[in-house]
Amino acid sequence: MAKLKLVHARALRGLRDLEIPFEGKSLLLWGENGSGKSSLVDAIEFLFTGKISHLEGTRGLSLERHAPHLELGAAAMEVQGTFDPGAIAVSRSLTSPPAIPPVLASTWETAKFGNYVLRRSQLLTFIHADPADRFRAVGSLIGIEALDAMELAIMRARDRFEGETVAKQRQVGLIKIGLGNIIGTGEAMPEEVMKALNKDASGLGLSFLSSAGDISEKTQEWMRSAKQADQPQIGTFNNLKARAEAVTIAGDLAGRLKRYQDAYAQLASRGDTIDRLSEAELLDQGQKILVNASPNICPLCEQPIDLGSTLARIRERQHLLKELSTEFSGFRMLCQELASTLSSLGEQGTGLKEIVPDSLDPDSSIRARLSQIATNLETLGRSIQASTNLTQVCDVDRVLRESSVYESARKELVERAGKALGALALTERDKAILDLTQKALRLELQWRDLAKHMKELEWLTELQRRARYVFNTFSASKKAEVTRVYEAIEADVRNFYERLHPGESHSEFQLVLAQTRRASTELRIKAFGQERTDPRAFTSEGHLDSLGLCIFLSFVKHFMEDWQFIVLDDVIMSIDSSHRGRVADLLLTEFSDWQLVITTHDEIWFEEFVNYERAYKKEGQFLNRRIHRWSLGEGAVVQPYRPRWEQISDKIAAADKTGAANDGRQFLEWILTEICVRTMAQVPLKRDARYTVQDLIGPAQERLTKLLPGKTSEITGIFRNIQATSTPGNLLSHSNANAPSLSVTEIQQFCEATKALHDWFTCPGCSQLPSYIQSAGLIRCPNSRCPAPLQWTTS
Amino acid sequence: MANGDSVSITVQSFLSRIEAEDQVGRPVKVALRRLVETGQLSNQDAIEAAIREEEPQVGKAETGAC
Repeated sequence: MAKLKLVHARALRGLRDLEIPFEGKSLLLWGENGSGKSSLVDAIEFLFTGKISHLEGTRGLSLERHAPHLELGAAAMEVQGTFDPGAIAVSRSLTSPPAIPPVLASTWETAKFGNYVLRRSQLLTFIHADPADRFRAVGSLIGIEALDAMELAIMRARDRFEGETVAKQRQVGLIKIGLGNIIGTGEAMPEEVMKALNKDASGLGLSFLSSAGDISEKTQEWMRSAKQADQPQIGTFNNLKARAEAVTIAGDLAGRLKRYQDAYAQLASRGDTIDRLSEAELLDQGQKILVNASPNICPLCEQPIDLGSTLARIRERQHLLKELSTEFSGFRMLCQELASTLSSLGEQGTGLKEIVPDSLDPDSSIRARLSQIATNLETLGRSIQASTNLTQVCDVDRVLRESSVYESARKELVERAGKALGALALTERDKAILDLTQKALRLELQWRDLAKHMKELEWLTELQRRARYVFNTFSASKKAEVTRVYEAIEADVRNFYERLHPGESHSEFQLVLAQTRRASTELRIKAFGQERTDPRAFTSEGHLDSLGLCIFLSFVKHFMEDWQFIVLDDVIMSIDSSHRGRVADLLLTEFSDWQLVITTHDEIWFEEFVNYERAYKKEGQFLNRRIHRWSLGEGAVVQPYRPRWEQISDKIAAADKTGAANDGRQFLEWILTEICVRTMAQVPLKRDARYTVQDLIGPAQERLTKLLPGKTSEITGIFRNIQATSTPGNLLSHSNANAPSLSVTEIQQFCEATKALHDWFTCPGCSQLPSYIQSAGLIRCPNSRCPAPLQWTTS
Repeated sequence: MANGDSVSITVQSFLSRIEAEDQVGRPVKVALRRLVETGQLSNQDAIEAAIREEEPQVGKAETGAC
């Protein structure tokens, strides 16, 4: 596992030339606000990702203009990182990306996303995010975009088969209606029609039909039984009449053409958008690039962009394209159906033309018309199909005219064949036989047609079943995997949160895939006995902050196995002071093998963390550093950490009375606050929650004396010394006019009295402050790993 | 877990389920495995061809949005 050995940042943000020799260790960095702590985080982020996230997505800010040092400029900006094992150096400037050696490739593949940096401003981002954005955030870590693309393609294949099946079912339905028309009912199956015809055949003393295969033979037999059976033209006329009657144009053609015309007009009116359907893939790609790289310059046109609004616009366009795509798919299916109808009509017209005898069309005009119409209808069918690209609409009026001409030719043939049959002076029985024969011939035609379409429908239904099964299986696999990852993350978040807030009223964190919406993730927590509530409903901001930290740490733990590195930029400040010690405990135990970069401007917490390092015997794994001073001309001056008392001693030695008194007073305020909190002292409540030494000193002494009556004289002595010396500390700290008359010795006595209290109330084994455990009747060191824990029995 | 592991876990789980069940025949199973191996599981045309038990049409453009 690669570790960071050194970071050398030049001319970046507030840093002129700063080297941090990590040597594979973690870094704990304290600095005042504006002293360059975050600039170091920026340098690390820039080295790995080529970006500084807080400079992106905000109007008016850019990496190129705002990352370089104000005096040194962009050309001088460079960050170099050196990695162990092997002391491999990698550097990045604004104009030259790093060349990654193969040995670092796998680490870099994970590190380049920068997901391991958490800034204070980002702490609540995930919690407050829209469920869809939250899903995307998790999704991009899991790599869910690739799974989404597969699921979408399989879903479209399924929809295609479903669409084709529905269209075929409609076609089968129309044939059944045609069969019903033969016997004057609604929809009918061939067997029902045959049964009805056999009933008529029985009345006429004719033999029965038994299947589609014997209709031709039987009808010839029936014709022979007619009086004029010897006249061959009867068969010809009869056959023509039957076929001409069978091939009527489906009644809804005009309706479907109208729908086609409206849909075309609707889609064509947004012609520019339709063209953009082909841009869907580009948008998907673009979105990925913007999300991953967060550039502030458009990669296509190289113009500055506002990342947030650009991503919002892309999502809007994707949504529009999705709607349009559905609409367009429906239009294409309608075009296919119409083209198929026209082509089928053309074929039927050609078939009809073949059986028209010369006697019924002596000048061949009807046959010529049928031939022309067949050609025209097929051409129009192709035109409808071609119109799916929305370049030219098919002439619907012409289709209607051609189909009308076809209809009149068909009717004319029916009429001529009918008249010719009538001219043969047939008996009523002969007419009945002819009528029955015509119906049987129509049955034969449609029976065969139905059999063909039913077979196709059967195949399409099978394809639809397969496609549904494949889609459901893929979706289930995807959901199972996402749920598995969620559960793993959930378990860690719960564990981490419970460690920060043991026994509190919020627990059982859940990361939930929303059931009702695709691609949506919700957060749930048990709060005050209420199950599955949104954490924002009942949880304080401090709790939400620590929940945000737990979620971040959990994600990092799961997705950063190849690069065990965490940057926490001043995030601890947002977390409730009583829980910060637990944060140190969590980081030092759960992430003990990770390289951590922790910055803070909270000096107390910094010292607390240093004590934890000592208590957990991790001090050798940390560089504890302070930013001593910062200026634009000098940059950040970083020095090794020195304990607070050593700093005060330095100031006393340098006769810095104000500095020493100030530090001493803050030291006293802090230790008194800790004593009051840890021993549950009763301090009168203040509206502004700002407690001074005068507010705290009495309750602290009183509480300690009450809990530890055996140590009364010791406690009284310590507090008496403080009371006796605190006046000079206060005077100097608050720039009192009498301050200059105070001596360094007086300040030193005050600081030493404060240190005496601190040392007395500190565990000698691990330097942690003890706490009162009411149930055990003890004041005890809280560190379970302390080799010699302080323990006082209370009264 | 590295970024992308879930993709391969999901796809392998999908194939295992398909192969363990008798809902589709061997030709479809083989075709789907081939799609996974050739990285075409997001190609609609190729998926349709696999379900139809046909050879995928070489060079046919993916239509993306529709």
